[in-house]
Amino acid sequence: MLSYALKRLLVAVPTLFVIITLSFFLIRIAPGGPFDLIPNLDPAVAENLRKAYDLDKPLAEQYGNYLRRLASGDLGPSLAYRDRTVAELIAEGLPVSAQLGLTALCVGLFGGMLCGIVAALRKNSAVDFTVMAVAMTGVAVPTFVTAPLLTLFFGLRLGWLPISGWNNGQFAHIVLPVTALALPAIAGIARITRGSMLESLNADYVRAARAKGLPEWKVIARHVLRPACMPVVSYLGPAIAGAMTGSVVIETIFGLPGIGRAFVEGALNRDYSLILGIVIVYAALVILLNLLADIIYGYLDPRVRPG
Amino acid sequence: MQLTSIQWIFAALLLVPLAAPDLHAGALRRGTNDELPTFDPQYLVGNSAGAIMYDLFEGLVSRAPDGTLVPAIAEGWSISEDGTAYVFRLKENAKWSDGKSITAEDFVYSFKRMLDPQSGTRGASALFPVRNATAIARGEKPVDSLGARALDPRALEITLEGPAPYFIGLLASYSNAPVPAHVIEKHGRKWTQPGIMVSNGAYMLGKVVTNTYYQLVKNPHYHSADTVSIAEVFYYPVPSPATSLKRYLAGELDVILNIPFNQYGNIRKTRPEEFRIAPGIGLGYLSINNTLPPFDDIRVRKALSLSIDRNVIVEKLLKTGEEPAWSVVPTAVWKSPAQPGAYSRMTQAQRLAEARRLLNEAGFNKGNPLRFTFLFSPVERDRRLAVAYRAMWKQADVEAELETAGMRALMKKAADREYQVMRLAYYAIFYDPVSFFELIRGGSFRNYSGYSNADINRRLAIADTIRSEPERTAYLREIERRVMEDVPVIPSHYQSRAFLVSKRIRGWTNSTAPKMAKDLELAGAP
Repeated sequence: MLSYALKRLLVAVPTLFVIITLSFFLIRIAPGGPFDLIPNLDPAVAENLRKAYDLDKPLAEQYGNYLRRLASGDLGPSLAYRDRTVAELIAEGLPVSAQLGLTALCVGLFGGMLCGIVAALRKNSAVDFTVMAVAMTGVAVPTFVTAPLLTLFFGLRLGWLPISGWNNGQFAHIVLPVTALALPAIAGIARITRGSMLESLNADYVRAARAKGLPEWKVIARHVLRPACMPVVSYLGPAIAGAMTGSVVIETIFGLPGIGRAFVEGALNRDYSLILGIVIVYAALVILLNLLADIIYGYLDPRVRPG
Repeated sequence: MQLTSIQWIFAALLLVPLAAPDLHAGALRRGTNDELPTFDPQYLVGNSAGAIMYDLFEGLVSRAPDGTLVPAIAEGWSISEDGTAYVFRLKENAKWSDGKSITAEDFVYSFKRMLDPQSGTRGASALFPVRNATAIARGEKPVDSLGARALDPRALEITLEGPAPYFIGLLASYSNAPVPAHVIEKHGRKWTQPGIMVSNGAYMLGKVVTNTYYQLVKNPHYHSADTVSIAEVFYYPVPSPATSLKRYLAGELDVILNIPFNQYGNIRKTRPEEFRIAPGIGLGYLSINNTLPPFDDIRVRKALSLSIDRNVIVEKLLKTGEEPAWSVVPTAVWKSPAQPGAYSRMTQAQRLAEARRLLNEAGFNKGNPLRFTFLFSPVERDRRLAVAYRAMWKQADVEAELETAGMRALMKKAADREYQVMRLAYYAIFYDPVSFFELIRGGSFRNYSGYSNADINRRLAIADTIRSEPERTAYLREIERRVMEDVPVIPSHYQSRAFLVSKRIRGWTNSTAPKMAKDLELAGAP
């Protein structure tokens, strides 16, 4: 298992390198530079700025310098945020995105599995149809629709919850964004759970378990649920990475200081070093969490365990 | 097993107390369009959150709520006979927020830091009238050659390249406020961090919660601290106009500038007292590429200008206190009505007839219409303007094809003169008429139309030597009148700024001046 994990990590290094190289050159294709929109910027001052940030050199040289600095662990200064480095900006944004995303994922996992289990156990009943209808709506309606609706209703009409801002992750501030982010997860997980539950409910080993006289809840918990979790786990790997690195849409609508929003603003500001920094963090997380999901998968299902 | 761990997490979630959101109701709460990329006034330019800098920093002079220039850190100044040497006397009780006295040397340090080409600062051009400033910024002269020196701790001498009657106005800009040498030398880039940062305005930096709020607290060492009524100010960066409006309506913000364009009409009806329009120091205009035929023909430029019905643009389309523009300098900058130009008194039908006649003379008619591409940025307001302009040109048998480009691409095309006609807006960096002449002065990098007139350039240089303000104004108005006969650009309207201001705020004036918290008072709860 350990050598398998190490091998996977070793493969990740060239993958990361390719991602960095592609991103470095791709973001330079976008028209304009980081200092273009500063009004009334004298051309001489603009030239000084480009020099101060190494942008006057040929692109290949800039790329070499970037890699050299990166090798020593330096993500560079932010071009737009003078007071902070890219590393500081990511260190500020990542915990926010992670807290938001992981809370939403927990809510989604619990709510989704509960709904899926109930629907599967009451198959083709009114409960099943209701749950699945709601789940279908959850999958079909995008967050940029549900989020404004939630703020309109709970924030403005009822006045129960603040409609934007983070306020250090205060509970009242995270309810609406977490709900908006969790809804599609609940829907997705409910459908996956219901499907795999139905499959394993009809399996021979479940019939065998019932036959040997186990109480129904034990049959469900021990013999139905465990195999039914498998597709959920493989769904979770990328989902956690996605959740941790932030939902761009939700962070923008609710004005949350996560790295999803920093990424969008970095792109709009042409803050090259910030974009690259976030791309590297995001890529590393996806690689790591996918590996983690595979390891857990192997633990749950002996058939796919690597030799 | 999975169930138990999930149950555990859910139980933990339920244990988090449902705390009511803290809305800071006792403080002034302002929304800004953008996040503040830096608290260093020499690095921040052209950001809507710049208002925060006027609360934190104060220069030699400042603007009163009505827009007039008043002494600030300086208690007074004298100007030499030839108008090139200024000596400022600093207030004796002018102190940094850590209690240290502000000295003339602080200003010299700050100006040099701003102009040093190695520093990466962004507002250097506001100091360019100072002797050798331009050469220093271009790296052609050493920083120490700057025409600024401390005569004694409270006397600052500034020598200029030549007379610049608008220089005092430039000094009111936050970018020309002093920065604390003793803190910067010690902490470097980190000097703007809460707890370290020292400023010299009515407020100092309190707490910063990134992308959530910036808290300012009253500076006890401010020279006029006893006249400051509001003890605490919160700035909330809210980039989305829709969210900004929602938070204002929910009572979470007291002042916002970021309002969705399509909501203006609605707000004007439902909250007429809170909808406050300040006269703009901006010009909405159409830039014509004077270097390209047929736009090098003055008749064509004039016809394009005449066919635009400014009253329709202002009253039917924009509807937020804009003013029809026939010249480049706004009323609020002249401090007397803007120049109407020869055609403003005609009816639109007369203007259209004149436009057709001019186009005919230039060789265009219904069978051979003038065709060109009209470039604008893809925001809602600009799109509606573009459609209106096209419809108006159509009445003079002019066929404009609409094309959009993102702001960056747009500005690049403007600078490279790779366009025919485009919509632009110009905001002055200082409130003097000459700021607007940059649009038409030959050699200026803001002159996107490529118009150049040696006689006008010569007259602009003469204007700088006129000491008497009324005389200088009359001279500048005459220059503007002459320039506008050439129609180098098409002025469309003078822009305004619309704010939503809570009824609990006292002391708000609809002027061009920065809205500083020290001039405001709070009455009652939100």
